[in-house]
Amino acid sequence: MICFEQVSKVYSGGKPALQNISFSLRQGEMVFLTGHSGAGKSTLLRLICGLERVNDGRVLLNGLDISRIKKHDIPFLRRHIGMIFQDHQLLMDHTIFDNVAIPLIILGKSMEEIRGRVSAALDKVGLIDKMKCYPIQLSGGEQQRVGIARAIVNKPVILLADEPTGNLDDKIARDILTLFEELNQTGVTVLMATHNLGLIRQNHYRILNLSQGRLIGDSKYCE
Amino acid sequence: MSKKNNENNGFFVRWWRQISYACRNVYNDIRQHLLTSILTIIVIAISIMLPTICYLLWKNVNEAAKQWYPTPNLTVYLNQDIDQTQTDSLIADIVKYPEVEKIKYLSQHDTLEEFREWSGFSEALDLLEENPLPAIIIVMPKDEAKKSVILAELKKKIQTLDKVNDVRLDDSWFARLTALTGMVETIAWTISLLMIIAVSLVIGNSIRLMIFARRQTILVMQLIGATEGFILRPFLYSGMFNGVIGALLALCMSQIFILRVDAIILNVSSVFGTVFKLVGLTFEESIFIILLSGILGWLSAWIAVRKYLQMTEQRS
Repeated sequence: MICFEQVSKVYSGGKPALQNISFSLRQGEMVFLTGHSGAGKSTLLRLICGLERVNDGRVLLNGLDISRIKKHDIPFLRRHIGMIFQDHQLLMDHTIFDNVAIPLIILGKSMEEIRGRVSAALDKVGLIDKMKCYPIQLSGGEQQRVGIARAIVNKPVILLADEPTGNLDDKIARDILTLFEELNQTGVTVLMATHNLGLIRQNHYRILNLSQGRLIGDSKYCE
Repeated sequence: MSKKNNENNGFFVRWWRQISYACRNVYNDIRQHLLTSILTIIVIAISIMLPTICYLLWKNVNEAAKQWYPTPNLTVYLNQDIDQTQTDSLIADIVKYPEVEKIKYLSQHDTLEEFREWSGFSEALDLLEENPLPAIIIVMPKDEAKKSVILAELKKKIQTLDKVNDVRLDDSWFARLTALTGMVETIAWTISLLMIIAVSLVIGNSIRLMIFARRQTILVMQLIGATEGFILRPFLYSGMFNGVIGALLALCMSQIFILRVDAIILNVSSVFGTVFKLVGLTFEESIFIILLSGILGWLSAWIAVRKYLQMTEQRS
């Protein structure tokens, strides 16, 4: 599904963000990416969706080398990836419905199809009754759910989440995590970056541990 | 096209939906920032109106030049001692020149009559024993020969003919008028150029403000997988819309201006005993101005957004 082959990334400042990272993800896996802030979690996710380019090595997505992808193909790559951000990146002057509908509008879907799929996505995250609200009227946890609904509305093959629970308290973070688990059970590959180890400790998921740009742990069977 | 393409996801269907989405976007944006939009459009309209009026001025001066001022003629003064046969052969010679359209011959008698009519010295003229006025030939050049250089050449040639006393080229008015319309033309061009730059800057600036207000939207669109074209489209339409509406408003204002000035000119010309009607813009000219302005709007929006996108690309 996703395959990193000796990937290195150096920012223009000179400090290496990722060094010689190699791992691969199977389809339908749910994997967590941990490490302190500055360990390179975000950079790794940004490489997958074409926001950054590798300096060395290769990143393969379904066998396609996305580290050499042409600039004008990047939008089409991103359409297959659902992205969720810590600050959720919602449009504050659009309703919840419009926010979730944007990926479908970009694809030029018909209004009926948009309505159906947006409703389904909002139903899944439990916000079907908040469709006409604006993001500002929602709580932090609900806003993050809108972000998830937007990420899954286009039925992506993979979900990348960058600290989706970073700003949320434990109870709501757990709800969000449950939501990701439900999505994973429908067959979506999930790669989630988090520094909240307490949240994921009791679940037996694979954890990739980054430290200062190096992969120091790949625990397929976490004790 | 296959039936499947016609259904839900055919290229043109998707394309059409994306365009209508962009148009709705522009409409909402204008509605949300109504006052700013109106102000922008008024500035554009005035910027377009100025060169339009300059152009109309030039066009009307040209028109007036054709209507009011006599075409430059050569007046050939004949010697007093010329007889009828010599006159006939001289006329035949002059008509042969390729530059000459036609001639008018006024005998000594004719010139005297004309002078009598014009001057009002009829009694005084009767006192003269001999007619002091020469016979003249008025040479009217062809259209393509109505240039100072060619006329001067022709003048020289006629001068050398036998029994010709003098040739006068009456082109002082013509020269002045040519200079005047030339000047108006130059001014109109200069102002047009400046105003085209002004329109581009105004539209570019309003688009920059729009980009600033929507930079979050642009960012999110990019993250979700919108192509550059999709992001550009609402801005391009907005720029084109501003340009076209500005041009329409400018045309309306120019028409009002023409009507106002026409009323004044009608007044003045009736006092002078002539009729002069101002010429407005033709349909083709109006369409040209609207198209030009629309294209300008499109282009300046394109440049503004492209620059912004390149800037963000380098930053990330």
